[in-house]
Amino acid sequence: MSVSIKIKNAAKSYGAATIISDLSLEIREGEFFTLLGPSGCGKTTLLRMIAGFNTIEGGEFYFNDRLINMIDPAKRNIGMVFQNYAIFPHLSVKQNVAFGLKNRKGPRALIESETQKFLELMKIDEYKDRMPSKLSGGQQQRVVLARALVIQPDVLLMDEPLSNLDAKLRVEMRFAIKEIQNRVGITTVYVTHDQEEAMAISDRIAVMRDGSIQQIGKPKDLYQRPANLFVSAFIGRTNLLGATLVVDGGEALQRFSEGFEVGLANVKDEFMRGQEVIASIRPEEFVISMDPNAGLRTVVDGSVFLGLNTHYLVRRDSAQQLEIIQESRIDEIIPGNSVIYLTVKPEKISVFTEDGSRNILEGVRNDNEPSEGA
Amino acid sequence: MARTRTFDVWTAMYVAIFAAYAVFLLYPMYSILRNSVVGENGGFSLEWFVKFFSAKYYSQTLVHSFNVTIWTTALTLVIGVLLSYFYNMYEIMGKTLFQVLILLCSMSAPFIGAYAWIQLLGRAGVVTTFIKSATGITVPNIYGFNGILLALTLQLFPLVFLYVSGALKNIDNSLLEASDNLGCSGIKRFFKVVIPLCMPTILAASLLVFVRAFADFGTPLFIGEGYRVFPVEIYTQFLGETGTNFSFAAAISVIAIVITAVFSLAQRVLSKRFAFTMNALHPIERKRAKGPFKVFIHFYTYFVVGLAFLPQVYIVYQSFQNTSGKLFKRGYSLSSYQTALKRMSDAIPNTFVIGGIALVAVVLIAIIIAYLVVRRSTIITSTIDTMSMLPYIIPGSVRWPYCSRSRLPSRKPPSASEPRR
Ligand SMILES: Nc1ncnc2c1ncn2[C@@H]1O[C@H](COP(=O)(O)OP(=O)(O)O)[C@@H](O)[C@H]1O
Ligand SMILES: [Mg+2]
Repeated sequence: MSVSIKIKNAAKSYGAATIISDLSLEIREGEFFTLLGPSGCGKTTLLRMIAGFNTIEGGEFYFNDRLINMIDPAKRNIGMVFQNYAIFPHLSVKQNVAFGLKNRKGPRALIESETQKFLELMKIDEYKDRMPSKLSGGQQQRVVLARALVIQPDVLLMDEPLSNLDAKLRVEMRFAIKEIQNRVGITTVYVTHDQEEAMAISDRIAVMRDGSIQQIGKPKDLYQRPANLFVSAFIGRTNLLGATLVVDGGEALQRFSEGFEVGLANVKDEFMRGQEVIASIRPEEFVISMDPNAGLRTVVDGSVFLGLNTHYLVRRDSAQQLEIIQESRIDEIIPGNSVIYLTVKPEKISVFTEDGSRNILEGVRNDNEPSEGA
Repeated sequence: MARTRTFDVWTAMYVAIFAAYAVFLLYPMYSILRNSVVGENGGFSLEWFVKFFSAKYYSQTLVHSFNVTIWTTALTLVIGVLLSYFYNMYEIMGKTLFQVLILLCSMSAPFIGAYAWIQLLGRAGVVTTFIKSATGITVPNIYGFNGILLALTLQLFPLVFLYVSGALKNIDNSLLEASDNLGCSGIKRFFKVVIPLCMPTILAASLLVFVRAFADFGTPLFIGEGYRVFPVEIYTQFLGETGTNFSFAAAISVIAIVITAVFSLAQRVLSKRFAFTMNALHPIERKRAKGPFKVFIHFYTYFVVGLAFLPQVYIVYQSFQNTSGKLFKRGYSLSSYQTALKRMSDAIPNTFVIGGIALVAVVLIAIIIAYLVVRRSTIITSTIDTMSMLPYIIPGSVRWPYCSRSRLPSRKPPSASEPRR
C-alpha cells in the first residue's frame, strides 16, 4: 500500500544552527520523487525527519491523512536505504533480507517465500548464503534494496544510494532502481547531489538550497524553465550573460554589451519594464554564424571533438569565456583564434531578474509555488 | 648490494627474536615440561599427573578454580557489557568522571580489592562491625568463594567495559537505525544486533578475563581462606613454606598451561567464525533516556562504578590513618607515607626504573615483531606471530619462578604482586 506524503512547514535546527526553517512539499502516491541539491543543503536531514530518526522541531508530516510526527521509526512502515548501505555484517545475505519480516509476527513459510521472491527480484538469489563482506558494492546495494522492499513498506527512502559505486555501476543501478520502483509502484523519496542521476531517475525533482526548496518539477521543466538562477546553474551546464531588458511599445528585447540584441516574445507582464537582467544560455542554445552582422562577436579559444557533438570554448570582448556545444558537422572544425558570431535560440534561453531570484519568462512550472504554475 | 644489506639486518632481527623467545619462553616451557615427567626415581614417569588427578585434595583446586573463573567471567561479562552499553548509548550525567574512575579501577593492583574488601566486609571489617552494632545482623561471610568472586569481578569488569566500549564505538549508527527501521529496537535490538556485532570483542574480553581470573593468586590468597584454588596451589608447590616438590609443581604448571592454551585456541577459532569488518562513518549518537529507564541506568552505572571504586577510596583513606605497629589508631596524618618512603627507598625508584626499562624494551620489540609480521610475511614470521601469543597462555604464577630464579626456588617470599601482563 503506497501513500502520499505531505510536509507542512517543517523546521529543524541543530543547536543554534537552523538547517531547515520552513519547508513544505507534497509527494504523490507512487511517485519517484528526488531531493536534489548541493552537499550540506539539508537533504539527508529532511529524509531522516520523514524516517523518524531526526526529531522534528516544527511542522507536520503526513502519510496520506495520518500525522506521523510522533510515530516511532519502527512503526512508520518505511523502507530505508542508507548511504553507506548499513548491511548487517554479522548476517548472511538471506538473513539480511529476511530481517524485517522476522521482526513481524508471521508464518515462517510466508517469510521464507517473500524473502526468496525479493532475492530473485533483485537478482541476488545465488549469493543468498554469502556474508556481506564477500559481495561487491553493486551486490550490496541490491541486498539493501531487497531488505527495504521485502517488508512491503508504504514509502521507500533512499539517501545517495549510488554514491559509493563506480561510474559504470552507478548508471546500471539507476535503471535497476527505477525498474524495481516501477514494478513495486511504491512512493519513493530519493536523495542525491548528482543532477544527471536525478534527471535520469525521477518523476519529479525538488531542488534544494540552504534548507529551502527552490523549485519542484519534472526534469524537463527544471532544465528548460528553471525558476531561478540557482536552479538553472545547478541543473545542467549554462553560460550566464548580463544584459539589459529594453521594452518598447509592447515589444521586449535584451541587449548585450556588444550591442547584440535578442527579441523576447515570452516575458511575463509583471516584468515588462526596462531593467538589468541575467540571461542563462545553455551551451547547445547558441548558434554559430560567420556573418559579422548576425550576433555576438567572440574568438575561438579551443575545441573538443566528441563524435556526436563538438564543444567550443570562446571568448567575448569582455574576456568572459563561453561554452558552446554544436552537433558535429562534416566540414572542418573551426580553428582556434577564428572570429565567430553567436546567435541564440530565443525560445530556449532563460532570463532572470538581476538578483537571480526570478525567471522573467512565461512557462515556468514550479509545484512549490502553485500560484505561478502555467 | 643494498638488497643483501637489508636482508642481513632483518636476518639478524629474526635470529635475535628467536634467541629471545628461546631463552625466555621456550626454555622455561621445555624445562617445566621435562621436570613434570621426571619421576621420584629420576626416570620418565607420569606419576605427578596421576597424583594430582587422583588426590581430591589437589584435583579439587582445579574444580574450585574453574568455578571461580567461569562465574567471574560470566559476571564480568554481564556487568561490563551492560555498563558499556548504557554508557555509550545514553547520556549519563558525569560521564567524564565516570570514565576516569573506571580506568583507575582497571589499573589497580590485583590483590588490593581483596585486601580492602576484607577491611570493609571481613570479620572485623568496618561495615561488618557497624551493621552488627547498629542492627545486630551478622553480615554473610565474605571469605572463600563469594569473596574471591566479589573481588575478582569488581576488579576485572572494567576490562570488559573498555573492550566492549571500543567495539561499540566501531558500530555505525546507521546499523542501529536500519534495525529500528526494520522493526527491531530496544532490548530486541540489543540481543539481535548490538551483541552479535560486539561478539568478536566480547570473546576476546572473555578470554582475557578468564585467563586473568584463572591465573590470579593474590586475591584467593588473601580472601580465599579454605577455598583452595589452582594458582595458589602452584605457588605453594614452588615457593611454599611446607616444602617444595619441584616435579609436582611442574606437572601442575603443565596442566595450567594446557588449560589456558585450550581456551586461547577456542577463542581464536570462535573469533574467526564471528569475524567481520566494520568501520563507523557515523559513530553512535548518545540518546537521552527517559523516565524510569533513565533512573535505572543512572542507578546501575553509579552503583557498579561506586562499588568497584570503593576499595581504592578505602585504601586511600587508610593511608592517611595513624598507625601503631600493625594496628590503625585514631587520627590522621601523613606518617604512613613517611614510613613508606623510608622503608621503600629502594623499592619505589626500582619500580620506576624497571618499569621504564621494560616499557622501552616492550615498545621496541613489539615494533620489530609487528614490522616483521606485517611487512615480511613468511613462514618464519608466522611462527614468530604464534610464539608471541605464548606469554598469554602461561599463567604468571608459573612463568615467574622460572624466568626470575635459578631452577631451585628459594624459600624467600616472592614480591607481593603477580607480574602484570
Ligand atoms: N547531527 C548533526 N549535528 C549538527 N549539525 C548537523 C548534523 N547533521 C547534519 N548537520 C548539518 O546540517 C546541514 C545539512 O546536513 P545534511 O542534511 O546532511 O546535508 P546533505 O544531506 O544535503 O548533504 C549541514 O550543514 C550539516 O553540517
Ligand atoms: Mg546527505
